[in-house]
Amino acid sequence: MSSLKIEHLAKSFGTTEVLQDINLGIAEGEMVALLGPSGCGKSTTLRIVAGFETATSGRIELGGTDITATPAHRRNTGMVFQSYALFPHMSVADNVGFGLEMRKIGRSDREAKVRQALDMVQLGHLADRMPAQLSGGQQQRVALARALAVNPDLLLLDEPLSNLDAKLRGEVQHEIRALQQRLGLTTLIVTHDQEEALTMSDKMVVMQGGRIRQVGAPRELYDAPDSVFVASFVGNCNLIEGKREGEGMFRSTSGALLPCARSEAADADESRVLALRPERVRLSPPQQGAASAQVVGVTYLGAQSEIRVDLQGTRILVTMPTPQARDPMAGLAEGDMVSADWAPEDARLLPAGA
Amino acid sequence: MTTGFSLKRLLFMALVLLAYVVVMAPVLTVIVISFFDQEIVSFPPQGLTLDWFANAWARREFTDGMIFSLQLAALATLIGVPLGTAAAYGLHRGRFPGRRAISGLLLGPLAVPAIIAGTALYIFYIRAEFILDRGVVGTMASLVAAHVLLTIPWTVRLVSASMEGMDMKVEEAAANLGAPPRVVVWRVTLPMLRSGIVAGCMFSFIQSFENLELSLLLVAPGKITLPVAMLNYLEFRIDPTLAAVGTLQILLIGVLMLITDRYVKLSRVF
Repeated sequence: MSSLKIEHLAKSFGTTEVLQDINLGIAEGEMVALLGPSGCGKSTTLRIVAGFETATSGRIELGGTDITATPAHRRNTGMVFQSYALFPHMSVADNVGFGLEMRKIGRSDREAKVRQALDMVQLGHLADRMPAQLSGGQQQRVALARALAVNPDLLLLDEPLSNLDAKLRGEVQHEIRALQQRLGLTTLIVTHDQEEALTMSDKMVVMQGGRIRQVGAPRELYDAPDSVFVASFVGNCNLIEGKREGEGMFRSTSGALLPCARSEAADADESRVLALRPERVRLSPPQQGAASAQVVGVTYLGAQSEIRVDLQGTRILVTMPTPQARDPMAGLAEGDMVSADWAPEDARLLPAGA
Repeated sequence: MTTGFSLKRLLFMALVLLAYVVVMAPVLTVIVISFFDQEIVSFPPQGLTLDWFANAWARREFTDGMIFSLQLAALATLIGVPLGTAAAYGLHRGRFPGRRAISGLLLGPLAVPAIIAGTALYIFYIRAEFILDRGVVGTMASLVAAHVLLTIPWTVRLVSASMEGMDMKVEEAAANLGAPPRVVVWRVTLPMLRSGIVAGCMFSFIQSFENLELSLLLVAPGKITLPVAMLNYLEFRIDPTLAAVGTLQILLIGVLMLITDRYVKLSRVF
């Protein structure tokens, strides 16, 4: 396993710039997620790292060696494709052994390594099957075993779970993450699913329009997004437009006065966006001193409930664990009056505009 | 179930049956007639016989023609299918100007009536003789070249269809695992195009084997293909010997399709 370094990477197709000045480092054994909406350039970045596309400018280093001009088949990366891309005319064992064969590894060694790779994904018993005879989840595991069998310097995952159903996806997420940590695999994963990025990575890279918007640990990005785009793309977020009013207060455009984190950067007259995670808002029976709000909608989601409240003309989404029967908040219905409050530091001021 | 529905269904079945009859009737007629025991065909037959098959077997022009046609079809297929496959691959993967035009040009031979193509080739070969100062018309090479033209449109079409259904990522996966481009083509691309290529071979072979119009103008005297031999025979006789030869041809192509179907399900190619 090796570290990866991407420097000033840019890519354009004709006059369209699909990537601009991408800089990114992945330490040995680290798992990094490229996250963003479709067309943000995350897949192109991965394909350039794999060698399927050539960068217009910039440099890629793998384990200290410049691989910018190295053809794909000499890069020693292992990739898992969204469509799995198994060889349909080869058995599972031959699929997994293909990379070893290309590396001129003798038959008996190869067979041992194939078995080892398949055991790693618990598919040793299916070695003689053809890909078409496997379920989607099994094909996904074969693809993973095939990528790992060659002992790559870098593991590349291109939306590897998006073709699996929701329940299976959760399981495989944990499996891949556990495997990655156990083997110390340097890994780059591309995904448009923020939950996947949050659960699987050491570091997240949020991309938009061919640029990196923010890089950080999942917690950092969730708790301290530095733009409206990142705040809304990673998790759910109330985004309220308005202006700062005095120290630690915010006036929404609809006139509500809301407590917020102190911010040196925010000029009082500049328009700002207040970012407030729905689960950070506490609702309680109406009381003196707290902002009073009216419930305008309740959605029951099982363990969680979503409650929409109107706070002096400003709509706020609140999520909370569904209250137990004795809880004063149980049986909350449209039209009820409640108090809504939050820790001021949980309401962050962000520059207006995406 | 209402009567209206069952009537509709009946009508549908009748139409399907009619289609089958229209398609199969000529083939079946040829086969049946080849067993009729009379020189001038009339119905009902006076009796059944295998004499016409014996007669066909005894005539050198048919046996020689059959062997020559088989050789010609095999050669044309052997040359045409790799060319057509390479063309389909290039047209599908390459990004270059004039791609559509070339694609249309390669399918061209399908649109040109064979007799016109034959005439054009004949004139072209005569010209070539003047320029090269050596015999061209009637040589095996010139005949094979003409038949290769027949095989290319079919191969291009069938292999292209296979390529459209192919996931390009599979080739990338092979490269990612360390396969250089040449190895990717041999180990991954061609095996994945197998059904298209096999179907291309079969169609090319049949196209060449049954072709009359091109061969008619291009064969050398004394070295003729089976369809040309049959036409020659027809100038003097109209007895069921031809039906017997036709029956053998149908049998040969039928067997070929059955063998092909063992390796590639033909119903999946079309």
